[in-house]
Amino acid sequence: MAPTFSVVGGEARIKPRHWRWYLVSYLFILPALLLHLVVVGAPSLAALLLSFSDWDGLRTPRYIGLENFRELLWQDGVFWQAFLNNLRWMSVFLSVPVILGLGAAVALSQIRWGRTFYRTVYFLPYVFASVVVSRIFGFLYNPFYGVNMLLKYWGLDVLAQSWLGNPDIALYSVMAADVWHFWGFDMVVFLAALQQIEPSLYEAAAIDGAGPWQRFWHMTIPMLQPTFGFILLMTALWSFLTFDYVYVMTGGGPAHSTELMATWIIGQAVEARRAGYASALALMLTLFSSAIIITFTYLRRREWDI
Amino acid sequence: MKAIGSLTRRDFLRLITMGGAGLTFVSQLHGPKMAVLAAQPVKFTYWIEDTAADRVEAVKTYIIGRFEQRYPGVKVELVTYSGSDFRRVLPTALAAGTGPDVFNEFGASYLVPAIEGGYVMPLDAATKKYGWDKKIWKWALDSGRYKGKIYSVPTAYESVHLYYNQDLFEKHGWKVPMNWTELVALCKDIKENKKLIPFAFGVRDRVSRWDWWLTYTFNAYVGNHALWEALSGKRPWTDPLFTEAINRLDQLWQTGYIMDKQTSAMTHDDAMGVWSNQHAVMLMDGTWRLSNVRNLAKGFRWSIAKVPMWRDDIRWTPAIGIGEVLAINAKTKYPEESLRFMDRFFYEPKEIGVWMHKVVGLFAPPVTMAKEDFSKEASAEYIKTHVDLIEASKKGDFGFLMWTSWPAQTAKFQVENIDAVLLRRITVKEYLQKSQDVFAKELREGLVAPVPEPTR
Repeated sequence: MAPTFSVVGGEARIKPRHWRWYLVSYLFILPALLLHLVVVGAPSLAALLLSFSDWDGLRTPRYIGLENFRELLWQDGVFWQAFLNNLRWMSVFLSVPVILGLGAAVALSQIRWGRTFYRTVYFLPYVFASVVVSRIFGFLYNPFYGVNMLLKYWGLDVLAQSWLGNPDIALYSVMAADVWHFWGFDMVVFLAALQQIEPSLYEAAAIDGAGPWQRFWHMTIPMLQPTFGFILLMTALWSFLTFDYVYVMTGGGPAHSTELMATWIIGQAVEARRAGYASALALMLTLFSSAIIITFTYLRRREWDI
Repeated sequence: MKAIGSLTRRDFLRLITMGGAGLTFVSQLHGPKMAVLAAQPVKFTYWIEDTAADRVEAVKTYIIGRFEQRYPGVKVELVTYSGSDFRRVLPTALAAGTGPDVFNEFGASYLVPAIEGGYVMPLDAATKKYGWDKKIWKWALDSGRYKGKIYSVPTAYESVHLYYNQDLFEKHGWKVPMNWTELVALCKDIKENKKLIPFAFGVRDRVSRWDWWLTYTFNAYVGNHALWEALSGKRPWTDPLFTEAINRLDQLWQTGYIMDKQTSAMTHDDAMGVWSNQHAVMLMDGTWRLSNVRNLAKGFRWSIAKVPMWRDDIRWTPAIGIGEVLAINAKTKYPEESLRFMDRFFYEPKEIGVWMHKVVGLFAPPVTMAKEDFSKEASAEYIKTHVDLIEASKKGDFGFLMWTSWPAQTAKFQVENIDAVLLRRITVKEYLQKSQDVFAKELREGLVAPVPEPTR
């Protein structure tokens, strides 16, 4: 009954002896699978079916074929605005917090005293609830008593902006709140990965005459490649699922300039009572997220170390 | 006497036994319900969209408490939700069959999907039985009609008004504006000379709050009759009257008279704070603001006035609409008790006057009341405001509130996109053309409810 272990090519592998061993394994995952089917599978299937209906949440759904998809692709300008905003969001989060996190992690990996203190301080914003952070930044961005007052006090009137009222900058103002909250997470992940790198490798490189920049560029970065892969994949996915900051800080306004796909879905499902149309939007969001996962899977199969 | 006297002990016992059996039989015919009522009081749920502690307490004390006193065998469980939660939870609960027995809604138009889904009880028979058709203003009762049947009764009429800082007005010698010219001149003086903000207003937390200003804009410039024509499909939304109305709203916004152009950067609470701190002078707000305006106006006197009209050839008419309606879940187990509770909102004008002041901002049943019916505790402004609205309703001389009289998708488009006009993302022409397209679609699909024609 118990599996035996053998070493093949240096790797420990489990060699099951009996089919019952498989059965027991599957029985262990069955409860989780059933739960998943009930709370994820069934609603997903329902959303898929509803995306072809005009359901308003109360009336009997009426099948309308591809009408919802025709509307969102050809008539719904806000949907494309939201999609574009999601791409903007992703591009910022794939760069700014990654650079900040990596920079801080590399710096922290070089110091011995106070490393835990700085790591805790930088990571602290990440443990705050996003709604709390959103509300605090909402106060800071208030045009009459927020950060503008400070800027004016310092004589920097020209920098005082309508942070959430100007459609050209409102999205980036919201992003800044999320970056402040999120970058510590990237820093901790990078720091953990850096600590896995054998110090003797750096010592050997230094003896061979490699400078700090060469060691960083030719050793640290390549060895962090799997970590980059994880962070980029998760950040790309989370960027498409972002909802809370925009919902609390701007509600998608002004003039839909901060609208994201998730906020538009909720707006259509709850405010406009168009659950069928919102399901079609949600399906599109799933497709975009799936495209990201498929891309990463493809790159891994092409032996990219991510 | 002799016959009685001749009863034997055995006959007497037989008589007692038969009598007891007879009583048991009769009680079996009529008794079970009474026995159940006595043993186990009926308890039904009532949902409202309001979580303000003082108003919730007032609802419990004055509306539910009085009802439970009258019907000791009936208990009402009050469940309160904030606006956004209510909007999300109510349809889900109704669809799941676990919804409330009685519930409030923002207006009859919000009920249409639930009515179509068979979740709302028709009230035509009850309307006659309880005499609501004789108590409630006809147009208000009719607003609860859908495809010929009444599904809700109105429990609050509303309007929009001009609230202002009376101390600042007196200090600077300002007069309440009566027309567009006076309004613009006043705003100019407030902003340019006194360096204050004429109107406090914010929509960052809820863009649909623009419906207050749009209601004012359309009524003040287009006028109630032309507006009625548009809402009835007899005048297009692209009519020059609407173009000029939006242009004037744009003018007020671009000059910074409305929240210094920061409407999208401020929540309404933020804006109220600016008014409370006396950095802003006026509010264009609803009747419901009477509920907490005293708390906001700390350290200064406030007053309320009619909003000025923007065109010289139209006279002042208040925009009136129904902001709260009461409906009953079609699946309730207690229809009769629910109807009695509904009737509780329309007992007597004097009684209404007392509790209406306690739950101010939540309920104001559209029934005819005299000045003396209002609570003695109510301020003169409060009474005058309501008496004016009652008079206007009586004459049929009133305008229209966006959230009551507009078809749903047209209203949604207009409130969600007016900031795009003000921020120069779309033109007034595009805005009105799209409004017309959405309205025409709703008209074709039979989704435009009739609105009462105002008297000329």
